[in-house]
Amino acid sequence: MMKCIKCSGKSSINGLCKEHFIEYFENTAKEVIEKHIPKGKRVMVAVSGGKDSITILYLLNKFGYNPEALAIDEGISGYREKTLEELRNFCTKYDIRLTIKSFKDEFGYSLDEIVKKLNLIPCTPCGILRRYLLNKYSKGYDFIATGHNMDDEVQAFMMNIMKNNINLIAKQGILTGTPMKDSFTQRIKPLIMLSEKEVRAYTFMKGFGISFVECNYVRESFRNYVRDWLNDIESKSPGVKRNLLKKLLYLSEKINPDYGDIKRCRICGQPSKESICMACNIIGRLDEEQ
Amino acid sequence: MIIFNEKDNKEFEIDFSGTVKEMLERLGMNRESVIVVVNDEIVDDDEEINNNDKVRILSVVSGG
Repeated sequence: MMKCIKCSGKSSINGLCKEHFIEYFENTAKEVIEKHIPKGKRVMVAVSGGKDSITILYLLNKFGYNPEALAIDEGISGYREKTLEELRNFCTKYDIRLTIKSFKDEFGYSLDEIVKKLNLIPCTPCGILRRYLLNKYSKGYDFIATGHNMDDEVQAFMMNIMKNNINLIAKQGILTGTPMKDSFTQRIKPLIMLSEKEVRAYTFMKGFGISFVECNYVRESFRNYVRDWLNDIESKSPGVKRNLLKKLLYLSEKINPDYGDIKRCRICGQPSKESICMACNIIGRLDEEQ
Repeated sequence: MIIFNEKDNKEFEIDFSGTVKEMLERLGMNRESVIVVVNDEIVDDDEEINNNDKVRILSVVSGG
């Protein structure tokens, strides 16, 4: 039996017993949160009902930030219903205000219907429309906290390298957003220093009761291949992901991102590179197909 | 040993005695992608287990 490196208890994960792992986990997240979010600021958590967003809600609540939760129901049959139910239960238990907005109500179509109608890779409209709604309904808040963990960030870093897109790397990091502060809520990633495995272990230890659910479309995403590839490397050479994250944070601080000429979408008024934003473009195409 | 695999929501049985790391290698699972729970506690890869233990394999990856 391996012992905890901090006490005589039994090691559970990372060479730490349950109590010391929870302490390490919470201190790591707290350091990021307290460094970047001044007390008293209004924080909206973009929640899916999965382990990452539930953990952020719990921690922000525990650290006294009084967070609110915003969930997007994309309309993915057999996937979102269960996570939303668990999310409602969690928010009720911890007395956290929850707002749910759906693609169907907002755009007239669920993601399942959009994918069929426009013959697109699902992750593309899903990401664009989710970001659109998060921005739209976080007006008046100082931060949107998202559930991105170390694995998410490192996967994106690798994908951006493969695309040879330095500008996207410059836009990564703990705090993200555009210079158009009045119409874009500052994003923050409180779990960026913690791995996906650590987050899963924490939620189990805390008994959050989160079911395993996987998006119906996940098999089609390139990210999935990158994730498996990185996990394979990490298992052979532990510490690779953390080193990649450190390099990413170094680079994203050193390189100034080029946001281009940011305009306002002439339909919805949200920040956009083009005269019509990508979300309104998709919505327009859906209406044309009617 | 009866093992519950969260990802498939299924139980299966193997005859096994050794470390968690060896069990995962035998099952062809990447230890970065899973968490092993033995008798309701998360255990490190070096933990010795045998047929009397109740094992659950949790999937680290979820969501989309």
